[in-house]
Amino acid sequence: MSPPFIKVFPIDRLASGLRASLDPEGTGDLSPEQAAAIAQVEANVAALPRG
Amino acid sequence: MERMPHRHRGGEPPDRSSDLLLEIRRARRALPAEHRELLDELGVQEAVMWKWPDDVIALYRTLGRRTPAAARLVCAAAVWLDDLRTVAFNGPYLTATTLGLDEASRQLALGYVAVHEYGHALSLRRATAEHREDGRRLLGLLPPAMRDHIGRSGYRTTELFDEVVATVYELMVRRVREHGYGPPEFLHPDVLAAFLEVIPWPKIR
Repeated sequence: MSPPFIKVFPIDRLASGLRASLDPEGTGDLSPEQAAAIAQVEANVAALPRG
Repeated sequence: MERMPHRHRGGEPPDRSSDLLLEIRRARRALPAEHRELLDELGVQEAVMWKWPDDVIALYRTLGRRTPAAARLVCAAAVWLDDLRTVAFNGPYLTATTLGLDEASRQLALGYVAVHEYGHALSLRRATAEHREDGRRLLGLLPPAMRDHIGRSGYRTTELFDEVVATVYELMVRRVREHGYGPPEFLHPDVLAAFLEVIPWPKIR
């Protein structure tokens, strides 16, 4: 019996995914609110306990 | 449509867990109607799990299936469980990761994860091996930030097509409210064509 097929969304890819979605061309064209939210997510992810 | 029970485990306050499920449901309701119907037809379910990854593994055990490796699950925000047609969301991690965000930002972050996973649910059912052979080329045609995001995530070549589609899917869905169903001008025609082959996108087919 083979292991089940799963697709994992790593938590440490959330901030870069948000940034890529909001600024796909990487021009830095984010609103202050968007930039602050991404920074908060990055900080929260960095503080997560790792198993 | 959600048939899976979601549980309050590990001391998680009920209001936070309910909020999380509400946001995920909101994201699903905001998908194009055809996609909601397709997800329903496919029997796609979602579950917020609080004892992670034990609850995911227990779900497989309950069904008498071989379990995924815990090591693959531990750092996940969410996982698409293909044979169970279920998206499992990591309640503790998503709660901690969205602390300090205002309501709009929290919706954005949770919606990002949820819509990306629903994109997998749609593309994995419809994409072929031939599509997946083209994943690396399509990755190279993405706008720079999207390309870097996927390229640095360590995906295998065979996974790239599905990641490209799920990433483009989230972008397209999020843009609908402000820009309608038309594709962004920065999306390469080959990427858009591949996307449309596996996602029945409204109005521009």
